[in-house]
Amino acid sequence: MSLWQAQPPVPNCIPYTPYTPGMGTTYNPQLLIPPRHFVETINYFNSFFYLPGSDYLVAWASTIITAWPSWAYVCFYWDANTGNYLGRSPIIDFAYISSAATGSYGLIYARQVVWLILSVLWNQPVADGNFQVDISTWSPNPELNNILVNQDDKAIIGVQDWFLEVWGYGGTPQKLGALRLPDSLGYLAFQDRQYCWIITHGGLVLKCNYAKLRYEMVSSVQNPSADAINYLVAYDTFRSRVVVLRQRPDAADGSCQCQLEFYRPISVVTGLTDPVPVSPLRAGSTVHFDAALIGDAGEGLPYAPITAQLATPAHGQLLSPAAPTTLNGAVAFDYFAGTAGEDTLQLSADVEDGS
Amino acid sequence: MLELLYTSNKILTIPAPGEASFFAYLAAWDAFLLSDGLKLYKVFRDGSQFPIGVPPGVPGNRVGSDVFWNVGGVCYASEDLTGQYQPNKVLNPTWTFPPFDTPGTYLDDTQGIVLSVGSQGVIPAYRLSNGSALPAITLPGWSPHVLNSLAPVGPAKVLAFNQTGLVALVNYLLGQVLWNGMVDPCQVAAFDSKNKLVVTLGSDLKIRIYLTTPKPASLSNPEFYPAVTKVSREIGYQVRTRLTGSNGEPCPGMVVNWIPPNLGTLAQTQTLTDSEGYAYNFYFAPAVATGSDTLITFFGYPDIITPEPCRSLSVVVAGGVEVAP
Repeated sequence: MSLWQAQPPVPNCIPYTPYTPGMGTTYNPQLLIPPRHFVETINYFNSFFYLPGSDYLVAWASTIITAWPSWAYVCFYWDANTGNYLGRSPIIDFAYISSAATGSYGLIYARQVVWLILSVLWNQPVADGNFQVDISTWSPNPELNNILVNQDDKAIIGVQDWFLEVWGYGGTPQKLGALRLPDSLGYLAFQDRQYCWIITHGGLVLKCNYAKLRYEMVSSVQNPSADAINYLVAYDTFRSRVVVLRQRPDAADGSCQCQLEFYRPISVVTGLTDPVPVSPLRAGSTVHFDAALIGDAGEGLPYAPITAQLATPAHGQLLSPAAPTTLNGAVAFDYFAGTAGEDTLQLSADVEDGS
Repeated sequence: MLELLYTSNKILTIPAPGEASFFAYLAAWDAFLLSDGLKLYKVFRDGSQFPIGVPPGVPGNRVGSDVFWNVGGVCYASEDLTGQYQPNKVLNPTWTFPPFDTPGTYLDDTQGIVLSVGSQGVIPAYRLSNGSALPAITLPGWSPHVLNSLAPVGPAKVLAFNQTGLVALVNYLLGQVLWNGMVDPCQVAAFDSKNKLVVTLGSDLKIRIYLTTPKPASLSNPEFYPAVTKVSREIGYQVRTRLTGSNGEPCPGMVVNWIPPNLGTLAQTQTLTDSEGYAYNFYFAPAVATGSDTLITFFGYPDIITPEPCRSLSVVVAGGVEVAP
């Protein structure tokens, strides 16, 4: 648990359509008879984003119909405040758009797969003249996926292979810079003119300052599960929190096990490393000890007060019984070794719960 | 043997075949970057281990306790938070980087030199400006072992390690081996530049932390230096004693205690060993007395040298006669 959870996760966040007799043929009976009871399953999620005007969380998914050989493109909605499932609607032109995400002015931008045109979407015709950038005409062609749009600064942020790239389109389109991703991309979310959020397939969550091309935070989802198929991230600009959609395999009865998770964008303290001596252990001399306050992703947590004490009876004396962590979470203590013998140094951190 | 400070209780987990290929201290993390070729990990001194992505290329150490990435012959600086490379920070736009594909090379971009982890106890060196080979640095007694790590220590200095635990401090500009040491057998090793410590990942996957000085093992008898054949009254003589490790390596910067003699006097009761392990003092023979005197030295930490030896030198002062060690 590396990011603070703002509220409990919402498990099984997509209610699949249950199988009822007469719904289909017995084309694939092993998927329909018990223990499976549903006629569909998630194939993959194409998009996940926060819709500010409606205060919804939205996911576009490709589903496989298991009752007969078919598929569907479906848009799922949740209440952004509670995570309650609100409903679904079909998507007609799903095949031509991908990786929709919230961007500047709370608009939803997506890439048209065939023509590489970035457009404003959501209840508007794809080519309505409001905003459109045809990346396919750029030279070199950036071939970006998971695109975010910052209209204020005329910048497009996207991922190509293992790189987060920032392109300016104010004049002649040009690449402004890139950052290497630590792992393959799960999804990308826009926060504001400076920041975006990245989640990797393994559940690492990174806050990225794309204006300055640097990461400013590395953390992870709570309890990253080995069976997770993918993670997608959205940023709720109203509540300033990160929402993660964890895609997991269906349960044995065929029900959806995907879940929504809500995080405050700060790391949770998960532990102190053991204090380690970093200077000679000599009776009659001062010994330095190093430790670190960390989250589950190993990220150092700054500015936390750490208290040290010696178990009694003690041979030596603590010279610095309290110290704050530095920017990388490191903390150091000095201990004066009196006489030869064995002492036990205990560290503790008093941290707030972030709520 | 370098003095062992700490062994982690935690055992690192590395997927099969369980071989680490690169280990480096990152000052920005105050922790270590570990690669097993498939995954990257952040490792703390106590052995806490966290996956932090996958290696984007071949990692190497860089001057200034940093890491660089060699991606298809192009060298990139590393990013502070993730340890990944920064695509916008190419270190060698005009260099010719040798075709190294082994993790653990060492890049000194201030001097335009790159060192490789070689076999047969040799460190190949190359000039970056044109890729030409420089005279290789030979580590005496290291053949046929393969180096596994080159860790930056300071200007023009790296620590070389191999899996048997041999350690050498090398000045690569002069091509000199400054000292040799030993640690327990290790898969990979790094230098903690913040605390000036050697940190290894042992073959048992435990983190071990060593001082860069040997563990003191023996103290020599004090001797006059230069040697004298007789000790005259009212004259001062330089004396010295030597502190060494179990392999005879000098122990620098250690306190040696001297017990004041009965007749004469000593300039100091505690002196520090120099880079060769010698601690020097001055013995002043008595002005009027004659008879025998004994100079006694001991190392101040009985928990380090057990049992603690006292070393002595007997002196006969008789109007300027002889010395009887």
